[in-house]
Amino acid sequence: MAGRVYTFALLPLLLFFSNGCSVAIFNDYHRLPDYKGNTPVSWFQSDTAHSLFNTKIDLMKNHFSGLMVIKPLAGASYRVVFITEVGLKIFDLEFFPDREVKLHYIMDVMNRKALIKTLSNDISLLLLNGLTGQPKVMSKKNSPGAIFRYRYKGKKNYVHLKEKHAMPFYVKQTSCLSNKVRVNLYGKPGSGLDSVKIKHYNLRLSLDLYRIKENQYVVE
Amino acid sequence: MKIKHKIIIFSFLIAPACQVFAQKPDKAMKDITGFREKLVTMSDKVNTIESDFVQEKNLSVLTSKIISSGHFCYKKDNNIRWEYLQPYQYLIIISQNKIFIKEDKNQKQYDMQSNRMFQEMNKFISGCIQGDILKNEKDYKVAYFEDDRNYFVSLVPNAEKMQQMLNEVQIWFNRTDLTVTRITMMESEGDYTRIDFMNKKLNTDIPIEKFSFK
Repeated sequence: MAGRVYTFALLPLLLFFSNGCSVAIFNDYHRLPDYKGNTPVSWFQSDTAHSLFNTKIDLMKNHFSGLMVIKPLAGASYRVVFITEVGLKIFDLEFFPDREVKLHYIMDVMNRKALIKTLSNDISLLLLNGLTGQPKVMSKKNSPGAIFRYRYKGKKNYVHLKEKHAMPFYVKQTSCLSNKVRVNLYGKPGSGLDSVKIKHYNLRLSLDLYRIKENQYVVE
Repeated sequence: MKIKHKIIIFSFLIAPACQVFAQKPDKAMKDITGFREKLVTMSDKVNTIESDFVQEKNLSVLTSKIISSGHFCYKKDNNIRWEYLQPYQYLIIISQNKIFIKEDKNQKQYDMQSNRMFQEMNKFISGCIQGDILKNEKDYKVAYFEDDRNYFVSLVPNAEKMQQMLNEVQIWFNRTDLTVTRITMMESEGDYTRIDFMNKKLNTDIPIEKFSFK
């Protein structure tokens, strides 16, 4: 009888692990208590410079492409505008370090609360926006550099730095049990970010950003 | 080519247009009916249009404009090829009730009949090019102006949803040949997209293959 009870208790766990969910429990991170190196800095932290990216968003069967403009503002906030190649705005968001994202505009076809929340979350990770408080510093076996764990709104955000660099190359967000979204950032600290890939683990949503070199495109 | 030279070339492309469009005409058009009739006559006579274009995107959040350029082709009836060449490649073809979009290696075809958004887009683009949009008093409030060189038409969308996307569409017509020389799409917060057409050629032979999806 006790054996049957245990089997029933373990069954949901078995189903959970076998259904393809990306699990966050066994992430192989270890505490790094005496870390004295760099702390994470956003690739976009700047007084005046803005960045342009050729951007593709794939959401379920829908594909959106255009240009994404990321502009740092005063007070460590950011304005992010996504426009089509033809010039029409798809969305216009403002990110603040200490409060909710402000939606200036979003195209009707994308005006869904859940989608806005998800996109805002993903872009916040890209900007390292809202990741305040004292992080736990960790490391991973066979991976040089440090990993900073921030807790924010019930989720854990792991920001990976390479040795001697303050800009992250990888950010992963998890809930208690499962991986949610990962952000790969490619670039060199001296010359800036080249490209970004954001991909969800359990949702058909991905964002690909490719930097457009400023001088070739923008006229003052 | 050095970046500085590219910027200079862009400036030369836009400068002639700027000289022609120094200011938005504010003199009300005297003969609106005459203008519309001339537009219909012109539209009947023109079977193809080919043109280069320069697009300028102004976002209030930025201090600088975003410039792109490309080539535009139109062939009766309702065949449109809109191709961005710099600084990236992006192609839209509208033909036979279908829309084809190609960007980098991705390409996709849509059936306009089953997609309301694309129907509206086609209606808007071909309406601007052929001038039919001026007759669309159901969707737009239309006002007419003129100066020595241009006719200028302002269209304000009636539908609230459309107004959220576009506050106003401004179309400039060359006074001599009545072709569209500029379209400006005004959005909220001072943002706008301006498209200038230059090196226009009318009634050249454009093979229909240019509007095919292969």
